[in-house]
Amino acid sequence: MMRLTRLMKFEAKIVVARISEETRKATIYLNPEFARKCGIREGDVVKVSRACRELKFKVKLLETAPENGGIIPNSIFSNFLADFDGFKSFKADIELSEGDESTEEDVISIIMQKK
Amino acid sequence: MICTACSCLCDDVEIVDGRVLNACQRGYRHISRYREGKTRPMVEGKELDVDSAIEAAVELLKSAKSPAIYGLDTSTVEAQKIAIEIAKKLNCYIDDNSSFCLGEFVEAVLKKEVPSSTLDEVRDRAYVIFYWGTNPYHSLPRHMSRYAYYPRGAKRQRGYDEDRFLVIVDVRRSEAARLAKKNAKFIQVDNDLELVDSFMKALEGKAGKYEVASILKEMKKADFNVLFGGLGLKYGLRGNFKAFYELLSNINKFAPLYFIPSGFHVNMRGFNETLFEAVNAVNSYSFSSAASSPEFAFTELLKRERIDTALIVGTDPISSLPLEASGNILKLKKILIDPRNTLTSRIAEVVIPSAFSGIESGGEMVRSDGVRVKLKPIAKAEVEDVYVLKRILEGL
Repeated sequence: MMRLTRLMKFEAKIVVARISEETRKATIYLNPEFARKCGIREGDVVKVSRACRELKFKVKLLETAPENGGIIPNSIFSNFLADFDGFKSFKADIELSEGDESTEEDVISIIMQKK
Repeated sequence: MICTACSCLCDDVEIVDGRVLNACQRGYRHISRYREGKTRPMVEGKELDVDSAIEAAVELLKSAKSPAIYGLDTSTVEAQKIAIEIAKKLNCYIDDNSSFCLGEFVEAVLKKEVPSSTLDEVRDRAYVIFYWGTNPYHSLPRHMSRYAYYPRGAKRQRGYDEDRFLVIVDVRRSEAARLAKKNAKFIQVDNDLELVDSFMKALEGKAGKYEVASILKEMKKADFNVLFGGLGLKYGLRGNFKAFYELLSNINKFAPLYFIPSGFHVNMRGFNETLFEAVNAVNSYSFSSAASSPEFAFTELLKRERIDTALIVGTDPISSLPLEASGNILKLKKILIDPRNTLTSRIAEVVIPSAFSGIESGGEMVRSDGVRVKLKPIAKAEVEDVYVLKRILEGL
């Protein structure tokens, strides 16, 4: 059955921070209460978009994430979405998505296209 | 051995029968996996020997019209000194990650614009301990337990819940913020400058947005308080460092407060101090202009397309810089010196392997508080930064 929230987009505060859990995958750590309100569950894939750029992230839930959003670990994924004005935190749109999370190769290929 | 995973440079890590003891999770990963994912010498995608890769690097630098040297925050002081010599010889730019990390804070400490101290003094004497815009739980996992909050110090014998007062300032209730219970305060900020303003007002006996008079009252009880400032504080100040330094100065008229920048690459402070000794600037330096300027930061040089070649040492700009800067890296000729395969090693024209400083090579590093530490490697790599950089310098 289609989830209603699949049609909705939510504004989220994204904090870029170091997370000890080692991952080179695109992971976003959402505040559990924020995720519940948005109808997003752990393991979902969400599209995070900002300033005409977007990537897909696998969702994990984390109590220490900001109440109105989530944490993206400092990585090629966070830096693809950030700029120097919003290097540590920025606002972005989040929506449920399908398929797999973005990979480092995806980001590299976008950068290559920019060249 | 000395753990080189972060700028705490913990000196009590031991390797016993191949097991890494006393290290935090971050240190354990850094030490136990140093043999994995090592770079091979490459030129234009072809694997060659190290000497050929060094020669190719020299030729690229010789033919460069506008080169820059960037990185070096995981290299030893000895390697940093040679890199500065290379920049001098090439009459080019040199910069490290501190230009977008905590370089401004270290510069203020080195210029004695703010009072600073050592982690040993913090352990022995500190009462009020601020973590402002840094979450040591993840970024400096043993900072609180080994150096700051938890240990009993010479003048702090009664334990953290009586003899310390913890203040966490963050935009979210981080893991460190969750420790702020008894004898502690957590301040959740939206705008760090408003908190600066609240402290300024409290010093004048006025109320501000945040209740901070109780913290000042606690500080007054002690002869030593400390504020660890991280990247969240830097970016939260939105360039208004003057307001923060003024706050530190005003608080110090009321009660002693020392400032230690915290949460950066293992030897970023080493680079800042080494360059400062050489040219009186901590980063973003142009030998051609004989000056330091924000426009000479590597990120700005990339954005403005002012360089054609980069010698990158021990850092991964493709991964660590925002797209507005990293997007232009592909337009450069890139020489990478790094022990580990990274996204940058995939796109560099020349890749020269090196050693993990502190694990496979010795030398000196500078802890986040300015204390110099001699590394005690447990292995020996075939080549290391000092060897490669010396060869490049000779080749030029």
